[in-house]
Amino acid sequence: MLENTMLENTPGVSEPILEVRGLEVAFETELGPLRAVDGASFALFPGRTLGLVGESGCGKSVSALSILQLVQPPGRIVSGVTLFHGADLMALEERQMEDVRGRQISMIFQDPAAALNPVFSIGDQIAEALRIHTAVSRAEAGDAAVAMLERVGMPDPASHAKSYPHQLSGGMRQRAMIAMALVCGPDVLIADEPTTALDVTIQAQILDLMLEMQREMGLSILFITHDLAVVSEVADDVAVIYAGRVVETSPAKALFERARHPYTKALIETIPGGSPGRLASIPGMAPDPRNLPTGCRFSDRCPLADDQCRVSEPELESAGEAHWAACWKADHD
Amino acid sequence: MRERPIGRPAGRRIMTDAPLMIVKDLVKEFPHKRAGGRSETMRAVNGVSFHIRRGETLALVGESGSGKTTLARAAAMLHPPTSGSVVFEGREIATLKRRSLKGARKRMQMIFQDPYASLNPRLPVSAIIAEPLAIHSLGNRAERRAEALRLAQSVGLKAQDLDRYPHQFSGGQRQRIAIARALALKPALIFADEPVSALDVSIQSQILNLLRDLREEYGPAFLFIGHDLAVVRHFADRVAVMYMGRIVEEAASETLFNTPRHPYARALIAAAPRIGQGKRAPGAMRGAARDIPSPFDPPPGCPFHPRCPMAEDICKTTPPELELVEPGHQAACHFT
Repeated sequence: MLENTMLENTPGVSEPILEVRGLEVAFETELGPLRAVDGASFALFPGRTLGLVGESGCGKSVSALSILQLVQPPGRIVSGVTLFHGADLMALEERQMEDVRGRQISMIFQDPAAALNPVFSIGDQIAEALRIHTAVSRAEAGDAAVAMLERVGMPDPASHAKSYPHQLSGGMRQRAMIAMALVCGPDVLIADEPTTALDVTIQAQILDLMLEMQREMGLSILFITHDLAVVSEVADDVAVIYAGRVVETSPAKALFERARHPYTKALIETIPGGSPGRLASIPGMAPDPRNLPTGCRFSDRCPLADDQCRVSEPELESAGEAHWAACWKADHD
Repeated sequence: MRERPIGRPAGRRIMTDAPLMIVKDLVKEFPHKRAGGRSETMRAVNGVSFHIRRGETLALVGESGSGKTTLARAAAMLHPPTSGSVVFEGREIATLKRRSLKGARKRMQMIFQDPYASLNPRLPVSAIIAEPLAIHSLGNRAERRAEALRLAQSVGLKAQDLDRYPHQFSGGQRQRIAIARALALKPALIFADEPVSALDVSIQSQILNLLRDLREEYGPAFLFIGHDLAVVRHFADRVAVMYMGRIVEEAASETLFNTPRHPYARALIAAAPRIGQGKRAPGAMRGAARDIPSPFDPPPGCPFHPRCPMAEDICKTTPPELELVEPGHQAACHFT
């Protein structure tokens, strides 16, 4: 299988801690089924950060929710494999999944309000997260919550543990959510646009905190974002997703130095970079997943597209060392 | 109807020294009830002065809550200022009553961040674009429709789009509609509050290019509010950095980004992520420490001192004034 070759070609690492293969997620809509994720494959390696990048509606958040089997109806995982430490999470019972969520894989969101309960103090919520998964007393859990808040840089952690979410600033709420996500010592943290709602100065603090926690705890991070500049500062590896599929994946350095897929190239070039003229732009907009172009799904916006691109869909193929692109026209080494 | 500026060659943006808008000592306070019923005022804009020349783009940057949007709305007389002066095209408008503002309103238009909220969902695109013309009783129905078509085409919409409704368009297309409407009266000044922040990057660059083209063609001045410094640097001629209701630094765009003088401006620029530097080492946090103080309880002295690496005793007691550090470059810091 292609994904196996992907592994063998990734230098210096043995095996991914988390791997998604051929994921398909569909939503029933009034206008027919909508395939939000349509054959996405990506791999997260131990102690590393994989940036999953794409524009709104490309399926990046749904992919993340699928890993934890948190896709809500009318959404449904159609097929795919999610290997965590080599075992397929899709095969687990809900009860077994509950043990994975929070304890082994936890998740943080753009909006801490989605994860924090407004009627409990943040200290109680962090303690509760610990008590669900471990046999500790209420008092021990409370102490552990304060200690965790201190580790994530919450000022005055003992008194802030008694605060309710609405009493905290956006940056502090994000710290509290990170504390809750990490208190059980998970192996994997899935972070879905964790800094998108924050001011840049606060974003820098939170990104820094995540990198620090990664080093201290050996965390592997799946970092989902639309922001390529943020990805370039936190990710070791990048997977670019377009209309439900990963179209390019490689170590971050190689991707930013020499992107192979025309979509990735265009995304990088559209970022204003100080030159005063017109910006590069991508014509048109991402396709409706119910009405994809035939062949390559980027073909209707691609400057390189020819007849082959409009007829048959390219698969991820090796384009360089640990570098994969799904494009008939991609430059190869 | 007014003469159509169609066919004016591109590249004719005329920026002159003639000030279009001069804002002086502008203050905007909001009443606020504390828990327990005690009333107090929150000073969202605290004595701000700036000017915009004809055809010039001035950007306001700063963290959320710094007063950017309130300042723009006060200058546009959407929320009349508590005190201070706003001279627009040579006329004091801060003291005018609603009715007398109509003339000035015609010469200023707004574009907002959220094109979903700013377009009337019950009107077809033709009526949305032509609405400002109708409000000011310009032309008859047929003329307004013809003008709406011309405007729609100038922002990249098609003739058949005129009879569709906002919900039938994507975010980027809606922003084009909002821009066409803003251009209908050929305003001298456009307030653009985060006009591309809600858009995906591939769409964001399309809209920024459109705004640049229209600026070349029609030559309006912009007061441009943005939090994405790369976008601001690309689009603005001059930049004012706001912090807690004040302008703390102001300079030509390239000067500000290359040699920021105020520690807050430096922190803001350092904190903005950039491509091409590789993964950061943990602990290499750039930007300002701590949280933004509450606007209800601003620190005494320089409002940035609790977060400032350079703060000394004087900063805790004496607020620094905005002073010239070189021609065209002002900063409010005791240690620039």
